Amino acid sequence: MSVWSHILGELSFRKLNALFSLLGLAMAVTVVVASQLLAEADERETRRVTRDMGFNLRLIPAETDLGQFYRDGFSRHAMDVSMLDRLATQLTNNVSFNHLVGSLRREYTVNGQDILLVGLSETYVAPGQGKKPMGFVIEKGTIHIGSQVALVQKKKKNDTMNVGVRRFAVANDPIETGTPDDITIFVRLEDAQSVLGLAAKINEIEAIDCLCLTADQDPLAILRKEIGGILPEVQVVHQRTLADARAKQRQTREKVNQFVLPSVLVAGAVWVALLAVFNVRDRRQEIGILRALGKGGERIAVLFLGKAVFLGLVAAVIGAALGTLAVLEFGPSLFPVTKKAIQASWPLAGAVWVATPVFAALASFIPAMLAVSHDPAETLRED
Amino acid sequence: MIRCDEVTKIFRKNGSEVTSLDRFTAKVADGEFVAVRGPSGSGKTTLLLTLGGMQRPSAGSVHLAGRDLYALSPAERARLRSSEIGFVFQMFHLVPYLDLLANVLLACPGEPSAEVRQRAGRLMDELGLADRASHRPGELSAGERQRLAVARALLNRPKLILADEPTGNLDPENAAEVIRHLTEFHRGGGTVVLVTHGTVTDAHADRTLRLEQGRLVDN
Repeated sequence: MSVWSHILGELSFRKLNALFSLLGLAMAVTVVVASQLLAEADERETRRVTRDMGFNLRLIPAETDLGQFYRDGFSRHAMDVSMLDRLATQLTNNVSFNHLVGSLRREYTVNGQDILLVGLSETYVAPGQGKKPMGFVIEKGTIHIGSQVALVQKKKKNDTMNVGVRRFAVANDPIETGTPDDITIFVRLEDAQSVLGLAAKINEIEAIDCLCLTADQDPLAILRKEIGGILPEVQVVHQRTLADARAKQRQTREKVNQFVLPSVLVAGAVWVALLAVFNVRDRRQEIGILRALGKGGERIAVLFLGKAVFLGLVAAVIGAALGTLAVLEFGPSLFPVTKKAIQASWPLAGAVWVATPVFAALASFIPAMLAVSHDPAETLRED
Repeated sequence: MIRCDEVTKIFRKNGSEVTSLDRFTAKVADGEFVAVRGPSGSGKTTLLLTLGGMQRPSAGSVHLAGRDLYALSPAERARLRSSEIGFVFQMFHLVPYLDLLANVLLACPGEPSAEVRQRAGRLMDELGLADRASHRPGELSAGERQRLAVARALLNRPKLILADEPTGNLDPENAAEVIRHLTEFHRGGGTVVLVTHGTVTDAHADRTLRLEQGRLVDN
């Protein structure tokens, strides 16, 4: 009689115990899978939302007077665009900043209207973090205009418009933002350099800090030390409120995850272990007769641990499916911005399929050892 | 076959000691049918489990086929039980979720060969259970269950059968049937030690030992 047919026979005989064990494990797996997928979705959403909140790190030429900078919103000094390249080559997952965009900002007059002309470089991101740029991409020969510019110049999407001596196509449907963007014309960096006669120059590098540090940890000092080591020619301006809000959001999420996952695992383990103890008690006579028939402790242990492994495997399949389905069903309403990125994770399912049987076996280990060490004579004497 | 020298078993419970076997000394020859009689609590079951290598005595020694049973390792004792001893209990001790054939085959160490399966089938046939092979123990009468337990005990062609009140839960007809099978095993050269508090086996046993309060009072 094979061990597996023995285990399957017992499972079908003690259906309630098997069902409750399976339910407990499947619920734990469902919560783990769902929380993991939701945590990933939350991470994406947070990243996207905070990214959409804009850059919080501004690197400007060292000689800039901060009074002038805050008054005008940009530095009147310029720096070489090669500084952007220098910083971009240092982008790794170990530095505290990411999403670098070089920009050149100046006042400019178009057909008698005073506007802000902003040239934007492409976005530089750390390797392996995707290439999706911040904000929008400016195609060659196009510009993005603010709502006030559109109103005064009477321009809409696909119209053409002269900036300096060059003609561009309007690429956006201008909407009112209530910010200086309404009086801004965004162009490609090289176009701004050409229009302003500042070849190979920028006056700012914008970035997002990657530190999930709160104000008390002095992130500015860390950023200044890190960036200053690469670009001593810049001043680092950190928009602290934005950075703190983002850090707090991340930290709160991490704390929740740190609580949920261990709680679910402990509850699942206790549940499985308790049911396994009841199972051992129910099967004392069986253990006694197996011993009397000369079966060793290994066989008894395999019967209990094998059962746990089998239940763990079935629970893993059910739980991974349920957890994934739940997230696919409810995730999009929780994370509307990044809902398209919510999908099943085969690596996670694979990990759960391997880990759950091991977890179930570990939870059943003590009960299994109780079964092995059970004195068969005690039961057999009870006749 | 069996030699017990000054076997004593003391149970300790809640700070007090209960002597279940008190310097029990006896021999059982090969091929002998020995009945052990005594009132409840006289130590009969303790004696049987001690003879079967299931319960280490507090003192004394048990020799089975020349080997000191409790000088063997637990694994060696388990192998010895599997190959040379068959157990029959009053409460049958069948595995409720296995069918009858699987219950009989449970006695087989390892995966049963085709020959062992055939033998199990033959035993079930001889014990009148052949047509119930796929049933579960819960579907059997008490007599059928005990016959199944006898079939399981006989599967490995043991030299010794230790039976603990095998007729205790049976009506006279079924009790006689079970005794008949044990007697047949005995006639085939097997050794039987059967404990009981009744007299149903007196006519079949070669010898009767009487136990009282763990002591052998009549041999």
